[in-house]
Amino acid sequence: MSTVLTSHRDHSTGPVRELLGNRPLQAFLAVWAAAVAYIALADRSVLPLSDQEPAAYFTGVLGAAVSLALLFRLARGTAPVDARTGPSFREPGRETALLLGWMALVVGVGSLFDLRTHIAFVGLSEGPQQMWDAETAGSALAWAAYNFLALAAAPYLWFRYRLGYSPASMLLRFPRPRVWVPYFLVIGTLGFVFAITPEFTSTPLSAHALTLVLFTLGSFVPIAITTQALLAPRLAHLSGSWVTGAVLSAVAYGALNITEAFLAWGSTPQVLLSLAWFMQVAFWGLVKAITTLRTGNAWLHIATTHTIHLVEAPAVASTFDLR
Amino acid sequence: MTHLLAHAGHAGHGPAWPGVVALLLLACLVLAVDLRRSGRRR
Repeated sequence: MSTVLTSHRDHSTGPVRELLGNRPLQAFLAVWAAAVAYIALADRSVLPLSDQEPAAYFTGVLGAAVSLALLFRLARGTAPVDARTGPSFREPGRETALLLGWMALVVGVGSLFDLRTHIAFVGLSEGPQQMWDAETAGSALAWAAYNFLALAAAPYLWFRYRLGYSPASMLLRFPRPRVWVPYFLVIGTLGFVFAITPEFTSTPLSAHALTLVLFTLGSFVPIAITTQALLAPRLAHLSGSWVTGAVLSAVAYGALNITEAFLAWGSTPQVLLSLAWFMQVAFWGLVKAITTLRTGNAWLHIATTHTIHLVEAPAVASTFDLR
Repeated sequence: MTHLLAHAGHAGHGPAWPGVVALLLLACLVLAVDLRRSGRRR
């Protein structure tokens, strides 16, 4: 079960052609673009927390596109992770179905205890603060513990020790560190500095450290293990295409985040706007999976999509009374 | 904004069932494709 990142493909232009020529991706992006237009034009007040200025969110989309363009440039010479070049799996179909069923269980059980995958969706300008206002130190710690145990520890231990998969076959190594560590640091920093507020700079260091720990345990590692290390490579293997695998991972990521505070399904306008926002959440799942499958690194998506959560340090300081 | 939060539930989250259904449907799709492939191999 080793990850082979070399083959006879032209790795400099081939993956870009595979990306741009992939029909499921074209369909996904067409629906996503229609969803963007719908969000811009629809009455957003039908959903809680949704009637806010989405300009910052769409600036983030542009940033993700630039990050991926640079990533493709740096990844030239290596093959994406698919059925030919990626890890081999004993029973990819059953393992994938098991993972998806587990994700459904985690979402369902979590909702019974007010525990969701995102503690706050940072894409909406004022939404995160309002969601943090409803949190306590105890509920935030419970959120981190639940996600870490259910989406990181349990799946990792099962696949590592029950099924015998190595860290390399779960894309948990960090190949080509001279390239990807600087990329991680630069893109990961750019991923949140644009969203820094005056409160951020006056937040105590202890709150910044706690934010990093809280989101590492509650979000970065759980999403890295379940969706990037385990699910995305299997979907790429099963679909026969790393791009199609990324699209399927995106849909699963959106479903995993279905309990976002700004989604509701009680009326037709709510369903339409919720589906449009669902596509936005799924879009970030797409960026994550493309990052992972193009580089063979389940950690790099933290830089391209996740460090934005670090701007929530002032909310963490307030919740944990760190002043 | 308080009424909007109340609308979302006291901790501010939406219902889980659409995601649960979507994930289970995806799981069924994966199993169906896998079974079809293994049938072809035989």
